[in-house]
Amino acid sequence: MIGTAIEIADRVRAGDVTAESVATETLARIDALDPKLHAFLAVARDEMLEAARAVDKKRAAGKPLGKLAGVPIAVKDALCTRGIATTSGSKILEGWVPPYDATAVAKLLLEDALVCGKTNMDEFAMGSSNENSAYGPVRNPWDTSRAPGGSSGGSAVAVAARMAGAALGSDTGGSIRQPASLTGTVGVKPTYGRVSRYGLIAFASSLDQVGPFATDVRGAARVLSIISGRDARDATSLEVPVPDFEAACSAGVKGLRLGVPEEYFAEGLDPEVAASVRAAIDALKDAGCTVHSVKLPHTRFAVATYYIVATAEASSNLARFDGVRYGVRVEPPGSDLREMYGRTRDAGFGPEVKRRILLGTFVLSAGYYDAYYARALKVRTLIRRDFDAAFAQVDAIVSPTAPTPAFKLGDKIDDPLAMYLSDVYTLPASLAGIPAVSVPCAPTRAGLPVGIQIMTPALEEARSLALAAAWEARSPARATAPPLAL
Amino acid sequence: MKLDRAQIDHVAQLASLSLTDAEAEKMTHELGAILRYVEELASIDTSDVEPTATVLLGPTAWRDDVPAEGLSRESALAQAPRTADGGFAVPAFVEGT
Repeated sequence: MIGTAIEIADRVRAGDVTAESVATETLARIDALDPKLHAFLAVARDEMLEAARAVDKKRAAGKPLGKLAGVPIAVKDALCTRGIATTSGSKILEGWVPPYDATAVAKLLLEDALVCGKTNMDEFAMGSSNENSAYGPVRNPWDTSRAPGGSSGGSAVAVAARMAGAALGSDTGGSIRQPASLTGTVGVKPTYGRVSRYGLIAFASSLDQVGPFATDVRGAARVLSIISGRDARDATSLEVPVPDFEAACSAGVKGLRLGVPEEYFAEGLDPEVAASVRAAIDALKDAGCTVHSVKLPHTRFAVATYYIVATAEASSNLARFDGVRYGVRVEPPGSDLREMYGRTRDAGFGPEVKRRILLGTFVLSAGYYDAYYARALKVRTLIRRDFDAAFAQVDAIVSPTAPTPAFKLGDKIDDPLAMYLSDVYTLPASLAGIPAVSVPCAPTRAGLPVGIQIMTPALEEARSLALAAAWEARSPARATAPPLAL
Repeated sequence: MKLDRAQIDHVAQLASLSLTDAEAEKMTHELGAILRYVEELASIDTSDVEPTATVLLGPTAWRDDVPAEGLSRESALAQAPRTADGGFAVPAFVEGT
C-alpha cells in the first residue's frame, strides 16, 4: 500500500525510492483495483511515467525536488489538464483534450507531483452520488454496492483506495466534503477565492472552489498551501497571504471554542452518525476545547436557496456548450443554427444537467425572477448572518458532514429532492463562502465511514486544519484503509 | 406553484434544449415537485434584507492591461467540430422576424 502524500514525497526526496517506482506501483494498483471501483475516467499512464522519470533525473542532477516530488495525484475531470482528455463527466465533452492546465494542476506539477489520471464525477459536478456521471458510477471501496458520494466521488475513491496519494476536487455545495465523509478521507473546501479556478469547468460561479483530498490532514494541508493564492487568470482569486497550512496542523487547540449547531443534529440525522460525531466533539473537549451550543436558524432553508442560486448560475455557465467550438456537435443535414444547438445539447447533456438547466432558466425567467432568484439571494444573506452571529461567540463550528453514511447505489437516483437533501449540512458553508474540512471519525457498526465537518470564518482554514489534526490524532479512523485496498 | 407543459416547453426553448416529448413530460412533473419544495422560502420575511450575489471578500482584483500571448488560432480551432476559412463553421442561420 502506498503511503501518505507526505511520506511518499519524503522518501522520493531522500532517494529511498524513485519516483518511477512509485508511478509503477500506483499504476499497478489502479489496474488491480479500478475495474471494481471505476474512480478513473482516464489513466495518464505514459504522462505519469514520463513525469516520474523527469523527477528522478532532476534528483540525479542534484537539483532540489518539489514538495510533492513523486506523489501520485488524481485530478477531478472538471479540471483541465493539458494533453489529457477532460470531460467533466459529460458526453458533450467526450474526447476533448484541453490545450492548457488548470492553475491548481499547474501548481502541483511545479512541485514535482505526478498526475495519475482524471477522476469520475457527476456530470458537470451536479450530484451527490456519482450516479449522474455519463460514464457510469463510481463504487465505494468500503462497500461496492454503495455510492461514494459526489460529485468528486472519483477523487475521493482514488485516495480512499490508495490509488493516489492525494487528489483535487471541486466543491460547489459539498462535492469535496460529502464524498470525503462517505469514503473515510480528508477533504477541504477552502474559503471562496482562496484557490484559483482558472481551468475549472464552471458549474455555479458564486460557489465553486477547488480543494484537496488526502488520506490524512497534513497531506491535504500541504496540497492546499501549494494550490492557494492569487492568480491573475482568475479575477475572484484573493490577494491575501497564504499561511503554512501544514505547520498549522501542529498548532495547539487548547482554549478554542467549538460551536455545536442544534439544527445540524435534528430530524434526518442517522443516530450512528450523530453518536460518532459527538464522540469526536468529546475528544476535542478532552484536548482542551470548550463546547457551546450555537444557533444557525436559517439552516433549513439552505437546500432551497442553494438549488435556486446554483441552478440559475449553471444555466448561464452551461450555455457555452453549444457544439460550436469544441466537444460534441449534432448537426442533422439541413438543420439551422438553433436546431443544431438544441439537438447538440439534448444529446450531450444527461437528465440531471437538463433538470438543473431548466430549473435555473425558470427561476431567472421573466415573471419568476423576483419570487425565486431574487428571494434566494436575500435568504443567502440571512444564512451568512447566522454564521457571523455564531462566530462572534465561537472559533469553529462542528457538525456531521453528511446526514447518513454511504447509501446504496440506486437508492436516491429516482428522487432528485431526496438526493439534494444529502447535502443539507454542507450547503450552508458554501453559501456563506467559508472554509470547511471533513475528517473521518469512528465508523458505523457496519464499518462505513463517517465524517465530522469543521467550519471556521473566512480565511481561517489554518484553525480548522489544527482542529482536524488534533481530532485525527485521537480518531479510531486514523489511517484506516478499506479492506479491498490493503 | 404548478408547472404545466407549456411552461417547460418555453423554458426549454430559452435554454436551447430540444427535449423529447417523454423528457418534457417527466421534467414537468419533477420540476413541479422541486418548485413546491423551494417555495418554503416564501415563508421568510426578506423585506429589509440585502441580496448576496457574491461572497467574495472585497472587490475583484484588476490586473494590468498588457498584451500577452493567448491560444494560437491553430490550437483554438484544433478541436472544433467543423472549421472553415480559419474560423468556426456553423449551419446557415437567418434571424426570424
